[in-house]
Formats: sequence, C-alpha cells, structure tokens
Amino acid sequence: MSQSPRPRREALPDALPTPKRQLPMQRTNDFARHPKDGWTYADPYPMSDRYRARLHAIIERLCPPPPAPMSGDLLTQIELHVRGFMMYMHPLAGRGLWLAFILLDWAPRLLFMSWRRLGDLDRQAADRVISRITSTRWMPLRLLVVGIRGSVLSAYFDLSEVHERLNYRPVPFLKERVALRERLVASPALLGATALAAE
Amino acid sequence: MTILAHEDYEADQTFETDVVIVGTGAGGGAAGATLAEAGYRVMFIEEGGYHPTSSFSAYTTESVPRLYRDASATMIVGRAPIPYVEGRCVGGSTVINGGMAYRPPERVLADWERITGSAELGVEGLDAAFSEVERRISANFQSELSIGEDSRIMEAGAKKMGWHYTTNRRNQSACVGANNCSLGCPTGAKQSTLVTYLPRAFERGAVCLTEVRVEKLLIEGGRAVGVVGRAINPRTRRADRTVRVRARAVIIACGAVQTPLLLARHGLGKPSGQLGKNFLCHPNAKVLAVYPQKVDGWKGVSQNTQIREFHEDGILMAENFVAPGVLAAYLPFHGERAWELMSRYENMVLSGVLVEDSSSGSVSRTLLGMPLVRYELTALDHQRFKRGVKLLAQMHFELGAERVILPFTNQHEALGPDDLERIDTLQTDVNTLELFTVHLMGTARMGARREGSVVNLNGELWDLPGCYVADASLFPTAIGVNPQVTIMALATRVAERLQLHAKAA
Repeated sequence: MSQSPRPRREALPDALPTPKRQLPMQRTNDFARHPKDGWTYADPYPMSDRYRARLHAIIERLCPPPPAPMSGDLLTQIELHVRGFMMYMHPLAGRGLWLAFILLDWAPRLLFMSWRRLGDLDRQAADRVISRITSTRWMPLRLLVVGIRGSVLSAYFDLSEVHERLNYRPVPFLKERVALRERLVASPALLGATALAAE
Repeated sequence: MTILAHEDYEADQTFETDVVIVGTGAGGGAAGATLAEAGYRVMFIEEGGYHPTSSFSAYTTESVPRLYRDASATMIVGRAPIPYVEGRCVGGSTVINGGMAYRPPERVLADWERITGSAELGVEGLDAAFSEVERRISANFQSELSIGEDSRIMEAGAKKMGWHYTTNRRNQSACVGANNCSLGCPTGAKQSTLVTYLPRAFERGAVCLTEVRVEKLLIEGGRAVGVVGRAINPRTRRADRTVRVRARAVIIACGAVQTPLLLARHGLGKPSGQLGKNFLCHPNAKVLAVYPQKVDGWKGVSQNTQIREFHEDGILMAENFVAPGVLAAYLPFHGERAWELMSRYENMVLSGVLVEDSSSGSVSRTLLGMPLVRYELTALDHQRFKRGVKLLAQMHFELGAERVILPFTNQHEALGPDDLERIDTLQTDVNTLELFTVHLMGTARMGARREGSVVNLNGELWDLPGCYVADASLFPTAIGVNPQVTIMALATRVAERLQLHAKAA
C-alpha cells in the first residue's frame, strides 16, 4: 500500500496570489449575449482580408437566402463567430477548418464541376456542389463540409434577428423562469404545492 | 473562495497542497469536496474558466466556447464517425449535461462485481455511495410546472404504442423548466458540481486554478508528487505560463478521453496494457419530428421521461430539445432547405435513440498531442439503431407528425410511415448513420488484478503510487444509462479510500 497524504488544517501559504478578477457571484443575470463575468473572449482567428472575403462568400452560399434574414452586417457577425469558435478548437483542428474553407471554395474545380470557385458560383450551382460533397461516400470529404456547415449554420441560427423570425425569444422566458424559481425557493409552501410528477 | 485565473499566475509558479485534483466535473468535484470536508488541503486544476450561474444564457455562439472542450469540435474516428462533446469549465460536463440522475441497472453492477471480483462494486457494495450522491445533488422528479409540451408528447406516444416508460430522476432543486441545460442552467436549479460539491469544497478552503491545462505529472522516486500545467492566455489562447502544483496525492479526473491522454504521456498502464482501451460511448442518433401544432419544445424541462420498453435490448429513447444554434449544427441541410425546416422550430420535437455499446474503442495519443479516439460500431448496434429510429419515427407519425428527419446521410427525411419501410433496404452501410455522443467511459478501468486493469479497487494506478483516477475512465463496462451519478459515487469512494490510506499511514 502506498503512502498517502495526512490531512493538514493549517492555512494556505501566503504565497497564494490574490485573484485579480472580480467574480460576480451574486450579480443578477441580464442574459446578455456577452455576459460581464470577467471572462475574456478570445481574439478572432487571424485571417487576411482576402481570405475573409472568400469566407464571406462561402458563408453566404451556406446560409439561407432572403426572405430569411441576411445582410452584410449579419455575414460579418457570422464570420466573427466562426473565427471565435476556431480559437477554442485544438490548434490543429482550428488550422484544419481554415484549410477546409479553402478546399470547399476550390471544390467546384477539384470536382470538375465548374472552373469558378464556390463563392463565385450562383446559389443553385453552389447548392449542387455542396449537396454532392455532403452525399459522397468518401467520409473525410463529407466530414469536411459537414463541419463547416455546422459551424456556419450554428452561428447563423444563433443571431438575434433569426431568433425573432423563429419566434424563439429566450430572454423574456428565462427571466420569467428565474423569477418563478426565486418565488418557489422563497416559499416552501408554494414549492410543496407543485406536485411531483412521478409521485 | 479562491479561484485563480491566467492573469493571477507568474511566468513560472509553484503551489503546494495535500491533494491536487485535475478536473472539476462529476468526478473531480465529488472527490475534492469529500477530501476538503475531511480536512485536506485541496487544489483543483481546471482547463476551462469559471462561469457562475448568473452568466449563463441561451446564446450558442457565446456559451459553446466558454463551456465546451474545443468549442465542441471533437470527433470519434471510425465507422461511423461520432462527434462528441465534453465540458471545459468549472463544473465540467455537469454544467452542460441533461441532468439525469440514474444508477446503473442491477445487471451492470452484478457484472462489475463478477469482473472485479469485489462485492464493493456490486449492487449492495455501492448502495450507500449512490444514496449519498443522490442526496447531495437532490436527485428527484420534476414538478408539473416544469414539464414542457414535447415531454408530454413523448409520454403520450409511449402510451399510444403501449411502451413502458419511466419518469426521470434529475439532479435538480425547484427546477422550473428553463430548458437551458446544455448551455448552463441560468436558474441554478440543476445541481451540477458548480453549485453543489464545489462550493462545499471552497467553503473548506479548497482553491481552484482555472485556465490551466495539465500537461504532465511530476514523478519522483516512482511516486506521483504533483502536476505541471500551462496557463492559457484567454485572448490569444496560447499557453504562456507554467504552473506547478506539488502535492502528496494526485487525482486525475479529466474524463475518459483526457485522462488516458495524460497518463499515456508517461507510459503508464503498462502492467495490463489496458490504458486507453475499453473506450465506451453510448452512441445516440437524433430523430427530429415536425408536428402541425405549436409545441415550443424550448419551454419546459428536457428529458422528463425515457422510453424503456427496449432497454433490455440495449435501446433507450428520450426527447432532448436544444436551442436553435445547437440544433442547426447537426442539420442535414443548408441554404433554403435549412431555413424551410428551421422555420418550423416551434413545431419540433427533438428525440433520440441511445444504444448501449456492444463493442469498445480506444483512446491514444498522436504525435502532435491530439487525442485519437477510435470506435467501430458493431453490426448488432447498427441493427439496434435502425430498429430504434424506425420505432421512434413510427411513434411520431402515430401522433400526427408531418415529417421526421432521420439520422441517415442517404435518407434524411420520412414523410410518412411508408418511407420508414425503406430503412431496412437503404441502410446497409454503417457509415450512413449520423451519430452523436456525450457519455464517454472506460479507458482506465478499475479492477482487482493488475493484469486486466489500469487502477486498483482504490482507484490508484497499479504502476504509479500516489496517482488516483476518479472519473468515468474507471468504469469496467458501459452502464447503459447517464453516467454522472455513477462517476460521483466512484469518485467519492476513491476519495474515501485515499483517506483510509492516510489514516493507516
């Protein structure tokens, strides 16, 4: 049997640094998109302006066209979200996604479907290319597009403008639920009155 | 409460403590609180950040990078490939899970007793530990007011089909059905380790070093004496500071992928060769039904019930509604078709089929430091998925669903029961299955003999004294239900064993 630690009850060493960040433990949740909890969001994944322009074009081909919400400003928001995601991935996965965007843009040429790049194709032609890749039996190629599509559409369907169109209004709902729980916790009688579903 | 972050560390800093615990999820949280309450100086190390209840929102783009490992861009390689997610924040995966509080079925614990040769891992042996965990995380049933329409539809479906279903026990206290479990519970009702075990540990003086990725163990004289990590700059995401923690015992609780990855760096697990083997993952497939009526699945608790009619055949069914940003990541469509489908968001019921593994995979370390997780689905499990998806889709059509989105790359949609008949003929290749998982288990299995296990029944590595494992890696087999209660029970037991050692010494 190996040696194991005995409990010590003395205080922690003075060397322990004082936290610089203020932890807002008691702050009421305002459900902001960027909550002020002292956490720093990473800078977007670095990209040249030229690459960003190509990325915008690909994002536009993947996202729903009008009458669904779409504008230059929304494209920029999606681009920033995608570049944000990339910073939190394993560095190799982030670089892989960067490369995947390039490959997807060149896919029409690589698949001999068009001499133009994906971002330069009209929507119908781009749809055909994307659909062909997502239905291929060659797994790595399929996953490449599925990964890109997932990150772009996840960012698109998280936009407030899109939430509004889907009749998805989480902030008032969550505020109402937080208030309801506070009332339940403050009043044990009320809590008891909410019969348990399984009993 | 002392929670430190990147800006608090010097370029090269060393801390000392009694027990250092890597990870703050179900395993790390439970072990740490148990030890802190016993009077040990406990120091947690967490790769993610600290995000209090008051910071949780329904925004995917903000929440996923904050709370999920690698912004959820993690994948199991094999036939079929399976995306998986893990928590990376203080509280770990308990912050983002569905909050199910199930004990393993008795047949599983009987298997554990047989495999390990120890009654302590059997039904009776673990009963007290389960009871204690259930008390601490308030495992109980939902109140009526928290239940949403999608849960009621699933229940009605089970009744109509004559299927057995159960109401889930969940780790919740006065849950009001905010249905934001996967992005952090904003009401504080879900009893994750963030609001249960960890505050208790902090009250007893435990310290948490956040934004530190542990890269190796400190080993001296053949014994684990601490860990070395790198603090990650939150703005650049580069590891630019070194943090060492010297301790008299090390507990690794980073989950079934990261734990073997860390141990493999030191060539541990040699006696049995089992480190990283026996990877289990309860793969599941989504079945998305669109109803003519308004459902508003985003209102009301997720997974109030589970359909258990086919549990003995290794199949579970449940609903699990998520925010549009999360749902869209798994859509089989893009452009206009994606909008056409998502514009019916308020009419959707998102359900799933979970299959109990009949095979196992492995986790290994690649040259570039990334984990390589491999898993091959068996023909039996492929059959289970086809059967489960078909049954669940049939249930939705019986209830009046207009269309059902299926988890097959070559058959995305069924517009009626007749389309489901084609599943058997079309789905011959396992690669067409679109799967997903959140239950990762079994890569440093516990056992009584060093030839067949990585750690002993105390949770201590056979080949590295002073180093313990306290997470889902310990599981000798898949458990077939949501694992957090089992992880907490085993982690509590590991912490208690560590104390017994101390007293004996």
